[in-house]
Amino acid sequence: MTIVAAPLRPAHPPVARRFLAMLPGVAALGAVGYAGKIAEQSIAAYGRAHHLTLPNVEYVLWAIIFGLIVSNTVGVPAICEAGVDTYEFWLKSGIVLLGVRFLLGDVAKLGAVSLVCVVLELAVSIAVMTALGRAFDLPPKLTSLLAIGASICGVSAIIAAKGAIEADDEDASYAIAAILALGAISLFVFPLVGHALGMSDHAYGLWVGLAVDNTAEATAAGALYSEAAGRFAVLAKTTRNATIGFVVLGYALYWIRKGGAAGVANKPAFLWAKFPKFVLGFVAISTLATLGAFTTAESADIANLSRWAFLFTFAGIGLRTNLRTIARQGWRPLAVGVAGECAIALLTLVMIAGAAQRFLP
Amino acid sequence: MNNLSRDWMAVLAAALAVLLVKLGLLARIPW
Repeated sequence: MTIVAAPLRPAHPPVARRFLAMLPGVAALGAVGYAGKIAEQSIAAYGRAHHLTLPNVEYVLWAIIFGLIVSNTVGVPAICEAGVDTYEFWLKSGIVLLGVRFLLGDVAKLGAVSLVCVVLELAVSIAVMTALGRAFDLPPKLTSLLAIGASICGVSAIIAAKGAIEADDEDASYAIAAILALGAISLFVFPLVGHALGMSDHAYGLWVGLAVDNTAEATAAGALYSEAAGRFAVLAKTTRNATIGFVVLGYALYWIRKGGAAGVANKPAFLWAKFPKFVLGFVAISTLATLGAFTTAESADIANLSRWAFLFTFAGIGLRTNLRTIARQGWRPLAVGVAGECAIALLTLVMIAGAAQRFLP
Repeated sequence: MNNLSRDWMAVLAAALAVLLVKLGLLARIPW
């Protein structure tokens, strides 16, 4: 007879204790994000008071910079880590609430344009990253992870694919570090290029949504350009995220055929498990807005709640980016990432230029 | 807490916020 000892403690702490453990970090997100908002307002007020024409640096950038300064100097205190990790929750909540600013017709029209661009972008990204991974002699599964990260949605896609293709932890952390580093760089580069080319909010938002890998960075890079561009970046990125299940399933089947991963028993269940459920929430709110469920004042309140959720997200981008950790990962995955992302950014820009002439206002 | 439940938690939190706005308990949110 086998005697199994009962666990002394539950595997997970109670919900109330987990919730309390998040409070300090959530407060830190709020403080850093709000400091960014104050910085933007103070500089604008100073410029007005002294009749100076100062560049308008959005709170988005200040929040990220303040977060980066904290995480790369004194570091995020251990007590705040659980709360800082909630930045993704704020991002997804913000995206769902942003649905109030889209009528279903816009979602269908722009979503369809986005979807065509996404399919082209997926093919280009996977081909470019695979070719570069081979040229730089990276391990095959690391190449797969980088291709998945660059083609769909960065960190979430890499985590989803890691289990499906049974990749090493080291490969996954390499790929995540490369994608995060590139996301940080894109925050500064994309708005500069967009302004230099005089891109419209629609075209720029679509470009950022297609070319920037991580959803948080894509949202931030869009918002840095303009509020409208931020909305279109979210829509394009959300369309891209919705394809995550198909690409991960494709890679899982590829590695199963090569004998490098266990089989997928139920494909529809696999696709549903990988599907980002917040996309459904976004469509639901957009449907309600289209049906006239909200008054103008209610829509404004919901949109403002979305802005506050994004403020927490942008602070989280800075607070969880550790430049030393990224530097420790070595140069080769980063070199492949930089070369690949430059190629993808350029090709998607050409795609957007074509789409802008035909479909975008 | 896996990705799936995180996604649903975000949807639920957003739905709760919308409900509070509809009930008038959350109103005139500043920005």
